[in-house]
Amino acid sequence: MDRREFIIYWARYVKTHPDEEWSEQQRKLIDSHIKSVREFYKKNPEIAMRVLERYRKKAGNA
Amino acid sequence: MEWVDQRTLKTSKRLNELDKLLLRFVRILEKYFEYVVTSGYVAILFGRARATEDIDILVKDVDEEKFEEFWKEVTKHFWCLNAENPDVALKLLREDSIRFAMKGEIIPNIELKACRNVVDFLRISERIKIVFKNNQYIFIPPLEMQIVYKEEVLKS
Repeated sequence: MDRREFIIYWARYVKTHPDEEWSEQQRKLIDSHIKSVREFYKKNPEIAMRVLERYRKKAGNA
Repeated sequence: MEWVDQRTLKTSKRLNELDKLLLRFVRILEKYFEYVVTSGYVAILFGRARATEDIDILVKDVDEEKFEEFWKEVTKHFWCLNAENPDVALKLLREDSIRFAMKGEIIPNIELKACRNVVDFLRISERIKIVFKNNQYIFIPPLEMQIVYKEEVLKS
């Protein structure tokens, strides 16, 4: 299934299923993404620092 | 989701980490400023299957006194990723944006921006309320404005 097909499939799924149902699938996706990024930053603190520096640099340019 | 009235939508969606963070943050924010949650989070709220690491919020009428009170309260629970004190944070908020995350975390974070033009103010004055299952709520811009903003202002 390509990206466009998936979007159509998923939109249809959301329209035809209760909020509780589609949001549970979505919750798993979002929570696991956040968990894996958090773990990645814990294992790679230098990258976490780089992300912070990017935010701060952007702020410094304002 | 179902419309309760012309300006209120009710959802029984299950809360994810983004929803939970947002609800904690806006309970503080709403005491000081009118706001709307915008951009990617709104698409997610309505079912889009994607992740995001930040949530964008637009606020209006940011004055020094109110901001200082907000800062005192918000920094008990959150930390600002790009400013260390309220003076710098307020300046940044007016010129660009400031970001908050739960203490000790970087993501997910909340990017706060101040209204800068008529469209921004309209997005807040015409806002609609989203009520979650636990009766907690947030505000978002009207969906039509969200789409027009994406297409015409951001050109995306």
